[in-house]
Amino acid sequence: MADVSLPNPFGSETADRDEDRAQIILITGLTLAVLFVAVVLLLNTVIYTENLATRGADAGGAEAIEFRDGAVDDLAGILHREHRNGSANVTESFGASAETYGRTVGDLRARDGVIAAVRPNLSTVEEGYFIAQNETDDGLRNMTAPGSNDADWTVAGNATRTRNYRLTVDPASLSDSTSGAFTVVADGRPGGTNETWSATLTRETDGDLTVTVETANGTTVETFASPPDENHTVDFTAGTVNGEPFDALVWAEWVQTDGDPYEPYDVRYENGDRARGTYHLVVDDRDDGANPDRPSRPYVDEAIYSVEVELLHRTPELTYRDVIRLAPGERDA
Amino acid sequence: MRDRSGGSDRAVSVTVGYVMTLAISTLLLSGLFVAGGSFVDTQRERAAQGELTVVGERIAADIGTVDRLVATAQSRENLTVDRPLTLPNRVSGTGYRIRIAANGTQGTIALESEQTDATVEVPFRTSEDVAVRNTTVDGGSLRISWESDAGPEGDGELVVSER
Repeated sequence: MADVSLPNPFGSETADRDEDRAQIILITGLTLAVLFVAVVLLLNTVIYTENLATRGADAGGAEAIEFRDGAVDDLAGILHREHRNGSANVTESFGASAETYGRTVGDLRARDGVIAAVRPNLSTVEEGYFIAQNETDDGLRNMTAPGSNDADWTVAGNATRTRNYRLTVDPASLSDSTSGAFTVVADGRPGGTNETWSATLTRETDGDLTVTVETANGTTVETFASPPDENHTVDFTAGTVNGEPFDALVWAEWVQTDGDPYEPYDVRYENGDRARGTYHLVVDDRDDGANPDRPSRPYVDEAIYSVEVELLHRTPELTYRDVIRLAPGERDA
Repeated sequence: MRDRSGGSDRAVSVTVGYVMTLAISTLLLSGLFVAGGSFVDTQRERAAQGELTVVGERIAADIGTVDRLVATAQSRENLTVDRPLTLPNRVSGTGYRIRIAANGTQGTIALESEQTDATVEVPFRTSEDVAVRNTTVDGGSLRISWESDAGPEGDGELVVSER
């Protein structure tokens, strides 16, 4: 600046004074500028954090739960299939199937960046028996005893727990009145609870199904409409009839105990000639064990009552590992 | 004034004007300065408040996630849940502390900035029987996990810790 200024005839003093002017404004301006830059930086960090609020807030807990529930459902299906197939060594074949399943799931999940593992712990297998109506060609058969065709007989003696007990009946075969009608009985042994639980299935005139549940605590009766395919399905352990919940239908209430010691009881059919249908159940114990002659009625095979499965679902955001006891279709406590 | 020609108080108005200009501009500018400074200060506190709210809510959300996994677990003894959480080390240029206090199924996450007066409390809820350890940690990345053998009765506890 000094170079382009005109020379001052009075010396350089006044020029210096000119250059010194407006210093306060300059300094304040500069300081304010710095302040505003600070504000901008501050607001910038606010934007960053607000951004953080919306970015990846979900840790993926829902995926882990979905993975667990899916694996439990799938393994329950595998278990049921192994029972149906009548594998020679059910524990071994279930282990092999579960391993294949685990590998497939692991591969599939790996594509989404998830480390997933499903490992059944075969040393925790609680053995049991799978009992099913040995179906005839048309699928349904009388609920009578194998061989002798006795109407009143014991399906499983000395059982202490039952799971996945599902029964399908043709309404046309059922009795109209409760006397002499087909009844499923859980009979506590004298050494056990010594109580009796029963569910009687009768037919209404329009084909609807009436279920009479008799427990140590009283009797409950409820009627259920026919499903489209007309056969009624009663899930004793899930407490549903044709998929509708029936609160009073709690399998072997007061007969089966929920914790150790598990008290023994018999699962019996009464008036088995007054119902045609199929059924299947898994019990943890049975008097005669499995029948090596498979074509007998009912079909009884060695089964897995329960098994523990280790599950792992791991992402960079969340590690989830749990051990699940797999015993599909146990009654709700 | 005219009588006293050649007196020493001639041309005083220039000086007075100059001084007054200086004084008034100094006054004005220092006013601006003070206002700007307090503006920055207010913004700083509000920024800290906002950031702490966000951080607190993220922690609450993740406590909720872990709680849900624990509550739906069949057995809690064999359960492992580990949620690493990346959070800023500083808000508005200062560090902060996170205090987690739970009582039964309800609790609060209190976040305090170390220098500004900003304090934020974020409430959270957990499921029945899911205990949360009361703790104070420094702000920054955290780990929210389920410790199955911890807790007052040894039946597991949800723990927030630094990582």
